Amino acid sequence: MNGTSVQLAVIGAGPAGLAAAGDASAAGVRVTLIEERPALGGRAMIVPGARGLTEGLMRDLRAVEVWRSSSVWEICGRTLFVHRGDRSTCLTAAAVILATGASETLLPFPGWTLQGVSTLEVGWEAVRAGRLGREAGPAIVAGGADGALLANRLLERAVPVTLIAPERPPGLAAAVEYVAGVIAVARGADTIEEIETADGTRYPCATLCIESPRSPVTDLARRAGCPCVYHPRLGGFVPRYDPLMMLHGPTPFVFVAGDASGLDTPRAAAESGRLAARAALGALGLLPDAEERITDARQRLRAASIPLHARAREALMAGASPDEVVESWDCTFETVVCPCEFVTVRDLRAALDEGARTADDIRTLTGCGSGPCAGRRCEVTVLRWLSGALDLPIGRLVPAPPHPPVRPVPLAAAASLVLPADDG
Amino acid sequence: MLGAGPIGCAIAYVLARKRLAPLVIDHGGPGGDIPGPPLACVWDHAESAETGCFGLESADQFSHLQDQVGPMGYLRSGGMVPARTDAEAEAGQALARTQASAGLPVRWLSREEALQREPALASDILGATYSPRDGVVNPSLMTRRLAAAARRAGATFLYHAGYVAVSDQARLFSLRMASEYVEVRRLVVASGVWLSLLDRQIGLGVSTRTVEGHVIVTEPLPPLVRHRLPGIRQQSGGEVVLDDAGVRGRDCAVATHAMHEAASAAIRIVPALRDARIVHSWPWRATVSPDSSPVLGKVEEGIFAAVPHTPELTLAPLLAHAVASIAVDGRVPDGLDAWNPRRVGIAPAAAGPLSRKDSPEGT
Repeated sequence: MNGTSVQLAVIGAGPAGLAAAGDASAAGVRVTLIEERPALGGRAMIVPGARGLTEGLMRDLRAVEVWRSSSVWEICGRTLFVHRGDRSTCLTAAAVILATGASETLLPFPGWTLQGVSTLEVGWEAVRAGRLGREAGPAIVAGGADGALLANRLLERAVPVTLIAPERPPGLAAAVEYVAGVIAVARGADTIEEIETADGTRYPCATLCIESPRSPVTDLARRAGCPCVYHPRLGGFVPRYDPLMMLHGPTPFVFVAGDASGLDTPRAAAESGRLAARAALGALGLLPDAEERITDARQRLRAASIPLHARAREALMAGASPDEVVESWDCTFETVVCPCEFVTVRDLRAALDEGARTADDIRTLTGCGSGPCAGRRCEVTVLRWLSGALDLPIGRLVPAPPHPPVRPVPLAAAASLVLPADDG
Repeated sequence: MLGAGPIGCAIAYVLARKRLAPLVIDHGGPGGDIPGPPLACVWDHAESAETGCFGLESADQFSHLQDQVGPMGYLRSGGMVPARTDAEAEAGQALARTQASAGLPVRWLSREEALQREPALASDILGATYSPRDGVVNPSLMTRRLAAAARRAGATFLYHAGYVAVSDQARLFSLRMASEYVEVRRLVVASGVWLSLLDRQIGLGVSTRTVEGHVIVTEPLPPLVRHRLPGIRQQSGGEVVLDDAGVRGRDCAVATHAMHEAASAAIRIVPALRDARIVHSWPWRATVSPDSSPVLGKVEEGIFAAVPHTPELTLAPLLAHAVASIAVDGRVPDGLDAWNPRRVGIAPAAAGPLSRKDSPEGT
């Protein structure tokens, strides 16, 4: 339980983290790679499309020390508090790379909290774990090209599946039933039993997988004091960083890479991981020819990115403020916004009438976001709702700052922690 | 009225019921500026007998208030303070004697009695002080209910007031805010923060003290702890709230220190909490009266204060009725004269509006 020290700590073992760790290790640096799931690879191992790339990166890990099933619950300067197994440790690094990726969160609609309703990602995880078999049908997938992939796979597993989307996605297998439409309501007692589309048609349903917006996971970056900007193309709130992927904020040498720095392709995530690693090592003086290698990484990143996303990122790095976007989201009064604390749209409206004007006010008045998920499921929804309700650009609504622990940690582990010595 | 926290809203409710239509102003939103503990004590049997008797009287008004304005999460759970060393046991027994002789319902429990009432306690305790009257309330729920009831009775609320410039002219106080300008004859100050702000602006000669702490909340657990234990309370939803007062400083290392201290202390008292997972924590800060009694009464012509001496809400109903009586009828209720703002010892060392009035005393 003593604190240990390392040259580079990388948080997250998706394509970005794997590339960063491998690249740094190849330069002879001591690296610790921390991943909260039991397996490496992140989302790329669950959703098809980047498996080959990720497996290749995993083979290149060389002398990297890998901590699986380890969650970082606090960052203080460049000291990470990590929970592994049944103990918590402190790890201090000369440089830290946050490659925490992006997470898919369901946008609430009437009935979204029923059992059996999930995002595409959760659907893929269930398929890979063998939990979605014939008895999971009738299954409905809502989404475009990505939804089509899942629907095709479900068909292969002999699950009766229908895809519902405004237009028929090109990759959809001919044998999958397609319905043009949009899902409006999900109904059932505790588990989903049927859905209704916007035109009023009902379909029986036991499993519903909905393509949902992904947004960068910024909790550790915000905990480190980094300001965030709202950029719809990059996925929502994105931390601010400079052209070398170093985060703005009070602590130097904390970097960001991959989807956590803005949504893009998996290959772009890997290249940004390499860029961050080379920038970190360059800053620490541990990389010969740093400038050359950094320029090379930058070019590869640009080549691997979706052009509009690359442009958005570069504008962000140059310090531009994005457009003043007023997002809006509204729903029937009964729709649950925060499933942990059971807060509905009606409660949000009541809070507004009582004088709430910020996300913090809403949290204190309704309890929204103060439950076990710590706002992960409802924070973005509340901000979008507030933006629409107050007609204020969402970028001006500062999300409530995260408090530690960023991930749950048992009391015994917190009690037995040996803390780094205070300085002054 | 300056301050729309629990005390401010309680006062607003009392004043509104007297048909005085108060205007309540606050810097923050209806949720409050700095979040406080999710559960506040209502009467702590371990508190000194000076305020203890008034505290009990005030605490008894909570269920009545709850009936009038709606559920506030008020619960008389009873409280225990276990003793683990001989010194603590002696001190506990002495406390029980002192409180009992002051007429307060506190007694000493033997080890067996304590464990029988609260099985989750560590089995190596030597005994505990106990009172059936200790309780808890949910401050934000309490504030909302009181604010809604006050509004229904005619009070108006002005939130997010921004910077408020107060000046003293003839028999009026003028308050200039970003989008409002108000002139009033009587000001009731219901929070320590406002007291120090007014002091800086018009020179009141009353000081305040800041207390800080950290709250730690676990995931929902099956029912484990029935009573209010020192720094430990289980809410109706199952979450256990650990309230640790006394960790200083605002930098990020403080949060982990607080978690470490609170977790160690909690496990010593209730060993079964070892495996419970912390899901939240946040710092809180409160500005209170500078010594061990509230500040209650007329500060100057037209300005009245009702600021408690701890962040606990025990005295809210008492202070609300008392300050209403002082501000409206000019009558100080019996026995509360000792809390007047002009009492010896609470004015800051150097008089005048330019001295640092809000420097914490002794912290």
